[in-house]
Amino acid sequence: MSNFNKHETIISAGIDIGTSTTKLIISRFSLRNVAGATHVPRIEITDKEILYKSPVFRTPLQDAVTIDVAGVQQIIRTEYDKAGIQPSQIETGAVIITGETATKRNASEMLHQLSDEAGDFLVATAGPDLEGIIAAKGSGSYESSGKSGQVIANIDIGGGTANIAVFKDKQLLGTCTMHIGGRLIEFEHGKVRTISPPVERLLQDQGYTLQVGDPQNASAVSFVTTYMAEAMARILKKEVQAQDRVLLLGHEPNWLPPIDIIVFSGGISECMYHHTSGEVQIARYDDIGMQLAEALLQNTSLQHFTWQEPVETVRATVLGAGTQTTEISGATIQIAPHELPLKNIPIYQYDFEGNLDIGLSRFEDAVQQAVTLYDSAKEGQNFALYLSNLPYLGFRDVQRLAKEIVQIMNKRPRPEQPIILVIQSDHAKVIGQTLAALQVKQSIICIDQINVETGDYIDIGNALTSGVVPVVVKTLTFHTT
Amino acid sequence: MNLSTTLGGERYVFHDLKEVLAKANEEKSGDRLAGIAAETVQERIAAKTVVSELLISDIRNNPLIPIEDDEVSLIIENDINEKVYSGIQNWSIAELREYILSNEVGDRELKRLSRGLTSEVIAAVTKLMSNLDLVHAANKIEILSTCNITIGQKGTLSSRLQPNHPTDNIDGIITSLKEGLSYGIGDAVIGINPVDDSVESVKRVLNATKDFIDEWEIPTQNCVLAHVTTQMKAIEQGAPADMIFQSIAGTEKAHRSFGISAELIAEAKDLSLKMGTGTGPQTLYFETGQGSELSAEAHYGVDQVTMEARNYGFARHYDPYIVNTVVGFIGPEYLYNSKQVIRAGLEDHFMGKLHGLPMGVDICYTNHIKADQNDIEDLSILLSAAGVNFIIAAPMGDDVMLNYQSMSYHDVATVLRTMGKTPAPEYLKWLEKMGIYENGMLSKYAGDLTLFNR
Amino acid sequence: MNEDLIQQITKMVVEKLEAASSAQTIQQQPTNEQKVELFSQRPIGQLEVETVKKSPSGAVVFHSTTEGPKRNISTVKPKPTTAYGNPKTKPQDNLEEDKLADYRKKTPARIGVGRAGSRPKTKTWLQFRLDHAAAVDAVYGEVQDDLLEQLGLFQVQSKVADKEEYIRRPDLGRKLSDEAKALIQERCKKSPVVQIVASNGLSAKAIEENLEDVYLSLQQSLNNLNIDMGTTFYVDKGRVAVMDDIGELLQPDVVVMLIGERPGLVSAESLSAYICYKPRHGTIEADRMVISNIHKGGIPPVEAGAFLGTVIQKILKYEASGVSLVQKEG
Repeated sequence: MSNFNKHETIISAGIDIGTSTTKLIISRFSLRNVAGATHVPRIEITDKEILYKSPVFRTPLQDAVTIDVAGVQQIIRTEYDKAGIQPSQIETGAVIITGETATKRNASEMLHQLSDEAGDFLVATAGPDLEGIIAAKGSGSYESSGKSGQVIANIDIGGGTANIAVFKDKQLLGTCTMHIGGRLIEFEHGKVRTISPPVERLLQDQGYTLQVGDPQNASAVSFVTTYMAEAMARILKKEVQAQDRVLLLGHEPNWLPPIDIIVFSGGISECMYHHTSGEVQIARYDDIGMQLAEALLQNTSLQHFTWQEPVETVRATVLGAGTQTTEISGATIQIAPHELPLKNIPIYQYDFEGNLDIGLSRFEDAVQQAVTLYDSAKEGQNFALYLSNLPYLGFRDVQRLAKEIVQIMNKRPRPEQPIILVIQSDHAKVIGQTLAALQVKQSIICIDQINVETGDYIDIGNALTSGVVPVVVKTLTFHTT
Repeated sequence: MNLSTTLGGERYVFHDLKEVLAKANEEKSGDRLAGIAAETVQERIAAKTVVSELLISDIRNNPLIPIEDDEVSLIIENDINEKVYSGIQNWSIAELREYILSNEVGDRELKRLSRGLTSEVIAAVTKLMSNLDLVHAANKIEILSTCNITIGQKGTLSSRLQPNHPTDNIDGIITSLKEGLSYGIGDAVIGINPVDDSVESVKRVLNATKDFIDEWEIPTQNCVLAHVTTQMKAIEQGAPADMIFQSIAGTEKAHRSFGISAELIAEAKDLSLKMGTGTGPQTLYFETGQGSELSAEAHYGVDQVTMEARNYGFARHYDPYIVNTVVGFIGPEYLYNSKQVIRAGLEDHFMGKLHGLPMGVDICYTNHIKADQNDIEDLSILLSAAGVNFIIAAPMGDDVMLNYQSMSYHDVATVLRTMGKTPAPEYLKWLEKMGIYENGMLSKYAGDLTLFNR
Repeated sequence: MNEDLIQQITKMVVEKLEAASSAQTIQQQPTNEQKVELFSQRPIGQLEVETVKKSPSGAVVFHSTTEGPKRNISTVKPKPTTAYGNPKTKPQDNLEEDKLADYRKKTPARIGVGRAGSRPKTKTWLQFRLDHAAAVDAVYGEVQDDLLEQLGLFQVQSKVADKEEYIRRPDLGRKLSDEAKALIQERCKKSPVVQIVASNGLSAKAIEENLEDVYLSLQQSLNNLNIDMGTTFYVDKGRVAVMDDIGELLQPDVVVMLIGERPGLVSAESLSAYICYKPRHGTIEADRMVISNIHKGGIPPVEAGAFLGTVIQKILKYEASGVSLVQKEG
């Protein structure tokens, strides 16, 4: 039976495997009922304490296209030991494979392995948009956007990409990802060792030549870093020129209001602010990282914005992954404990647009579309139905809705699978109980007060003592509206 | 001690001091609920007449609640200055009233007089005073108090900014706080009533308000109005509190029902001086209100005005930074309508001032009492004329946590302007620096909370 | 002219004013248009409870023979989450208004209202007065008999004679009248596990708006949990502690009292559920528990009813409520 008044803690792990570096963070969340004794409970994370920060490791690679899985596992095992943590203690968190690493041949294989190795917690892959969002949360930009009322762009620049996420008042306004990073040109013994394809194309477009073996101080190299800084300024101002597209990865900038403040995080920001200078020296001289940082600092167009120093530089993403990806469900929910944890459940959002009659009239078609979308081969890929913008529901409305849900869920290719519902408003318990009263055969997972949408994936953790469940929402792509 | 009188041919006999003091009160539903109110208006006047002829010594020598039974009685008794008392003990209460009102008597005289008056005597003279008496007499007294800044100067009216939120949401609290600051509110204290009376929650709100005060260099003080023991734990755990708050009452028994005692308040004072962030010397904040003893079934048959006076007798023992009555909050069974609320507000303010306290008022009403915003606006003007040290304000007067109405940010600004007053000097300087005030009044930038965007 | 109607019309006017000043916002949220429905606020449908067989896990089916009329549309505020995801509000062109709109999301307090000199704007002032008027009217309103009939509740009186006395004499509201005692003895099942009681308390509107949904949802929850229920009834002008008299008369294990809260400006129709294990004469206040803020803009009544079932289950398990429950639970 849930005890809402007990103070409880959960352990979260964040692991960031990036193009050039890998790091890990273990933290402890305190959960409390913040609703006061005379209200229906409301459990929130009230405190986050970092228990352990790993050093910044060079990401182990077998070759240019393959991650050294054993190497990554070794790092994680050793760091867990140092932190004094057993994998079984970890109840939530995220593994993020960022930048170009995510495109490595064996990225998904590694995720599966880590999922078994790193604890029974929640594993996430990242698209570039999510990566930018998580970095903004780790760098402090997200938090400070809630205070200043101004538009803040967090620019996380690592080895391979620059991930821009724009926030105002803690609302995401847009994202953009660019091929700007420290390792896009690498050196060895004072000579160019590798040139990444986007940089090759850029040089070609602009009529510069640079080849492996050219000296490190070739003018084409400084042209590249200067150009990257200029292009960054244009992207931030949404003045994208045709020749900049070569540096875009995915969509163009999609935020509307002009940016007031810029914050740099990631490895390049470490070259600017030297937060970790007491630790291992991570700024290296075998790539263009230092030069890129310098070019950004010197660029006059970027001076147009207000600069704000990040709270975290190189660890922004891992901090975000470890401390900012977990949400807590509403306290009044209905769950079948033996079905948890659930991982990688795709979301299908059904928007009632505030009207039950109209909503229910189209409900069945919509859910059929969800089946088509996620289980076209009828192999039994289950999905979670996200019911948003429900109108105010009376008891009879809930009964109607529950009956419809049962009928529709029974038409899935494998109807015996659990019925997974995420309700936007605070209605999970009554809907769950009404389904139970209808004596449905399936297990019911009915949670609420989590914001998601079609295309998101969620992981639902084991129920905690207070009866809530931790949920990690993975927004893989940024949908522009 | 004579307890009878004849008025208009009718003889009125009262059995004891308790009864005559109760019946001498202006009409209050709480006295009626307790079954101790005058039956007729004439009986009330008869009681007042009897009280007017009682001597100060009659009241001190016939304790309503013996000091053996009640530590509040003991504290009041022990705090009397015998020199001053011996000079006035043979005055009648009527003479006391006339001394207080006489043109030759001002701030200095009343402060000296105060040292010789028990709370029961102060209550007794209050029963003889009209509303204008209460305004006029209170306005003679200037009580300064200092925590981080000094408030209470003649010509000033300070305010408590009360940015409560129904779930203690920090962003929500800060938003209401910004709005209040933009109207020049908050020099007395930025005080939040928390929903969640837990140490964690109190620490969170203390930290957030202190951070905001520090960030904007606001010359004021913070406070979270949780139970005293919760605040003490929060302070022991390092939370920044400029003062410690507690609701108090007029009897030891009522204090027990609040979970407090004289000893606990003394400990709180020590702790706030040792570990609090307030500069001091004054670092305590008390709230009172007529009717709370009856509500706690701890009134010993004593009327609610006398009980309220005993709150102030208890309070002055601890030299608080601020005290306010929450007049109109308790409900219609104690103060039925606006007339009773206005009377109680003036009584409480006068009695607090005559005790030498830095007295403020939460001018307010609930929705089941017969009063509306117009009535408390009236009272705000009366209290401002009476020289009240501070009043309390919430956004548009609507407290979304406690579900009652108080003064609005607009109201405070308007009272200041109308009555030709200003916030406390140090705070006014800050308001001018921020551009919120200009030439002693709201500037064109005032009222815009986006001032506090950085 | 009917006072309710005046109030509704004033409200419409104020909302129109608001709509005019923030037309862009309204355009993007067309559902707001449906907020005002003047003439059918109360459900009129007859609800039959068809009991099939008592067996665990909810063998009881509730049928509704007639559809209830459409309710007011009100968006239940989602819990502020730290969800990363897509922008949940669309960017607006009017940045100034947008800025304040963002602030308004942070608190239900009346902030960003502007000023006329140092006074409130007329619209803001009238809105405030309207909300206060609604609160006052809720205190002095009465619950309509047909609501109680629909739910099959009979009605008894406390010792209070009228509203004025109710307000001045809380002690009388804590006692049942002699007639009430006789009627309860006659009509109620004795020694039930759970006795549910409703009372208008300080807001008749709270009962009118929420009782049906809380009650039906609670009933379903207790059915699901196979917990026995007594005969529910309504106490006119009751105070919370009237449950002690009821406890003495009927000897239930648990009393749940659904009572109208003192109205606030945010909501004049907020309901509280007071729950106590074996309330009897002499029960201390600390052993009563309360779940408050049950209304459209707070905890949805249907969800509150569902939650109350699990609270009662816990009270029965520990044989304690309030402070005693907290102690036993550890």
